[in-house]
Amino acid sequence: MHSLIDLLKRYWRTIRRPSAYYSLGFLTVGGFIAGIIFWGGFNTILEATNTEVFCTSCHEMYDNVYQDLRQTIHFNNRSGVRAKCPDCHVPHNWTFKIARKMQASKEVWGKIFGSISTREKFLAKRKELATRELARLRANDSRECRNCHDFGYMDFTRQSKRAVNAHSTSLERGEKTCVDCHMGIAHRLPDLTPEGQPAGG
Amino acid sequence: MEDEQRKTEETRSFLFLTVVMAPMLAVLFVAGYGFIVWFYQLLAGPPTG
Repeated sequence: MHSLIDLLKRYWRTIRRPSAYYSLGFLTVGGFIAGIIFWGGFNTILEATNTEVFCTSCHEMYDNVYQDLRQTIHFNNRSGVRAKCPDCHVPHNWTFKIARKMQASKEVWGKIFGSISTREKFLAKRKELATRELARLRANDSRECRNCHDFGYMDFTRQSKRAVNAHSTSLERGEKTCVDCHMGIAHRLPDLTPEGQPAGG
Repeated sequence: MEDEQRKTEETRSFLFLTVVMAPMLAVLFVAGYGFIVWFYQLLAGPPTG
């Protein structure tokens, strides 16, 4: 125990006083280069956790929500532009992205304790999960939709009459947001009827 | 202190600070920032992130 404290004291002294063997130039440049390598590695890992391969590496995501997505226009369409998991589910802004990554600690928890480890458990929890994600998109005015779908560039002459009616009124005035109407466009929509009310009500 | 020992300690200190401590602190700060934003969102309304 004594020798450990002695060791720490010795190193504390070494760290606090000027180096006798390493030049200021080496220490500064060395620290700078280490910083570059660190930041590159950090962002590489951050991006690696932001890929569809990573998301669907868990069977919970691959077997359920990914199979849903494959049936929709956000996966397969005439122009070949498609949405991947993080395009919609991870904010692109850095602050909100980091916050979302920390929220994912709850998903790690769920993975470890198997909260949706079977199809039955997933179906039982699906309404809660969908409701939460829709609430998030309502609260942020469908920000992740708008990363691709920009209202300012919508050509009403190329939309159906029904779409123009909705987009040029409620959407333009900000009374409604994308997900108020466009639900279940990338995954099968569970029955969102509140508890105790007849289905379809 | 012997010169050889001092040199060893300086090398180890430099490696510890640049490879272990600074990266760990940076990750902790970023993670802490993320958690603070999340908890703020929990208090201030539905998480808009």
